[in-house]
Amino acid sequence: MNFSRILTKNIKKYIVFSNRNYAKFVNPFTRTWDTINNEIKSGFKQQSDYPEHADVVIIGGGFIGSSVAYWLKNRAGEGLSVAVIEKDTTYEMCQNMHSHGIITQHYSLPENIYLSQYSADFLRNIKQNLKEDVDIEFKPHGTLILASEKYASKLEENVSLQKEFGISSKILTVEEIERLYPWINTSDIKLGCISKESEGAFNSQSLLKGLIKKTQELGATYLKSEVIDFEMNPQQDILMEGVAPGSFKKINRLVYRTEDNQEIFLKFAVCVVAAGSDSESVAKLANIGTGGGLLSVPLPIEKREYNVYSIENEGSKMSFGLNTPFIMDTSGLWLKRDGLQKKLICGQIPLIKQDKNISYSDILYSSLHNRYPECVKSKVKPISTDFIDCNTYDDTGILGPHPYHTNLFFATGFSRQGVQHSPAIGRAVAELIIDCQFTTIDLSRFGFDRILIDEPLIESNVY
Amino acid sequence: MMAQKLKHSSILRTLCITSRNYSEYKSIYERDEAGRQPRKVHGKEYPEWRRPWSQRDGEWTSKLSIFVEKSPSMNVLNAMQKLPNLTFQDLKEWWAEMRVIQEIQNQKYLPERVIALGANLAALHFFVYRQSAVRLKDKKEWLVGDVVTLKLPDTYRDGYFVEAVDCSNFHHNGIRYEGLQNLNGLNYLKWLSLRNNKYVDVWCIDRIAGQNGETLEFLNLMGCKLCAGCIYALARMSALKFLVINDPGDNIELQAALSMLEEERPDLLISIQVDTESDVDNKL
Repeated sequence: MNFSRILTKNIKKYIVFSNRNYAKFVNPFTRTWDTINNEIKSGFKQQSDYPEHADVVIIGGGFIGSSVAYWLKNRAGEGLSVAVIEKDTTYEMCQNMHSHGIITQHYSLPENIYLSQYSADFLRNIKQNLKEDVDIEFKPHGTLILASEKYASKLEENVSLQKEFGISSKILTVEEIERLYPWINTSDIKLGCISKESEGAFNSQSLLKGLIKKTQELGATYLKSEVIDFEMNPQQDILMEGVAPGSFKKINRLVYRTEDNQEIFLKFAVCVVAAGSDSESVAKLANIGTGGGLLSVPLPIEKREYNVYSIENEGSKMSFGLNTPFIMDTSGLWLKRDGLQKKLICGQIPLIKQDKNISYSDILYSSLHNRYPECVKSKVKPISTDFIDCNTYDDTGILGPHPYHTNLFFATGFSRQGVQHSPAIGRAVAELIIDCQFTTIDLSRFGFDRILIDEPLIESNVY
Repeated sequence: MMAQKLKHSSILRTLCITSRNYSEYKSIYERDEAGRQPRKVHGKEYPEWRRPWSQRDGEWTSKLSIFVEKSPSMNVLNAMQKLPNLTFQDLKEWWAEMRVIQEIQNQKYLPERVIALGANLAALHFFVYRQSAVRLKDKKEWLVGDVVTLKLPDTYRDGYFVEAVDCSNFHHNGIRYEGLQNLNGLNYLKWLSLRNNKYVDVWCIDRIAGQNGETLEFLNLMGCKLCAGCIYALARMSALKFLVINDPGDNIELQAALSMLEEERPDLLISIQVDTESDVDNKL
């Protein structure tokens, strides 16, 4: 009796649980026979439509998540099964992001320069990379960075560094800025810098939609669910530096809750956390921040919100023309023209350390009045609230495996550069997973290790 | 400017090797003897906080491990995986991709060419040998020809300033984004015609605006892919006086943008022309 029970249990382990079988034959007899055959093979069990295994799981289906899925499927094809778990498929959080569709080439870290160069190449060839009907509506108005006395020398250093990488930017003196853009108040500016090519605004929504469609076409599975927990199995025979011998626990499966409240276990080989502002809570599920030793350092990513305002001119006479670049002010204020319409959009970069005493709108109004003195004649009203996932440690992204959980990769914390660098970041993560090293752009310094050894990587050209 | 010749040095020099080979690709024996180098990322040393287990004290690894090479390239594995499903259509698409890559490589900006000839003469070589016409400053005739018929100087000569480039006949279906970088450094370029170049789009016009926007006065964009974004690039060209384009047609945004540009720049004349000449066949 016992023996037959063990036998059936062992047999069941080897039976393949296949997914829903679609009809392959037109002839009704062969179709019926095929369906019945498959049912018998799977032992008449109730199939669940939700996958229970994937080679790579990506938590978060936004820009970076979809980009990672795209590159994995592009390079590996049928060889890797990719599942993307996204809890909000309407992407409400990503819509109306007025500040996120900008490409700029002004960076001081070599990694960022390479990332923006590659992303510009990807966006230029987007019709070949994704599908023919993706139109990102690139508007090459350039980005102008203004520097006060304090930052002028740093700006010059950055420009000469960029020249080494092949990016030609022009330094503008105060007279040139006044001649080209007479509506800017230049009393406290010493220098400005504008790049000569591949800088401007694009439609980030169409990029996201294009990525998702192409990835689904290549074979990735998008699941509308929420990750609840990670399941960790103790593995006593693993020795790792920084971990007490015999105490290592490996993450093998995660639990996700689907739309109809089913909780399903998903077994994976590699998990990529690209969840934006929710990455910290996902990391907490894996004991990052709550454990001991290597797990005591939490993921320092927080959500920062800021309002985006529009400045409308009552009269028909505008002081700014079509040649209005995206202006990045010394105070963190940014200004851009709203397409062809006669209004400006502006916003303020949020502070890394949140301070309840400072009112953001006050800072914004004062810097706006300083830079664009004619705005007293116009109406300034808030149009939306954008938010970013801010890395409170050093404001640069975190990319790479966790030191303890070596099969858990992070790709978050890129704040405002996330959208524009997403193609290049996706490719980097795909290289880490497939080639186990960075082959094109070396982003080792973006790893989680720098938080453990306290070596901040600061980008000095982004205010 | 260093006056380097384009001709190769004599054969005799290659027969007697007079210098050491300091290349990066040392043999595996030399690499092993040099020992463990500190890891460098973008020129700076990367702070390693842990070492692989096999390199700790007391651990032993075989000397034969220096012969262990890397695993096969993942691209090769990906291609092998697609082999059973290979169709003729896949081969045709692959060949077409290879042709595109060849064409882009052919049109790349070569710093060696510019070092040897100077920006103006290098641009002259580039455009003339790809069947477009170039006119020099203070001269009336257009330079058209082949490598054999036209003798252009092969070292740097003073006095060659490119004033006008006519790319209507550019070979192999038109100039591309990479090819436009050859217009870099032409300080006297006033006239540019990109007629019938179907690969010219927003990014290309943006590149032209950045490189030559301060001196370019005439631009012909008939047959190019125009969209509303192009107008922003055109607005950046401060010296532009005459623009020739095709009829925008149903594209309302483009029409609105064009009218705004006209309103803003009263000295800029925008002329909408129809391609009446028979379609110039770009010779393959």
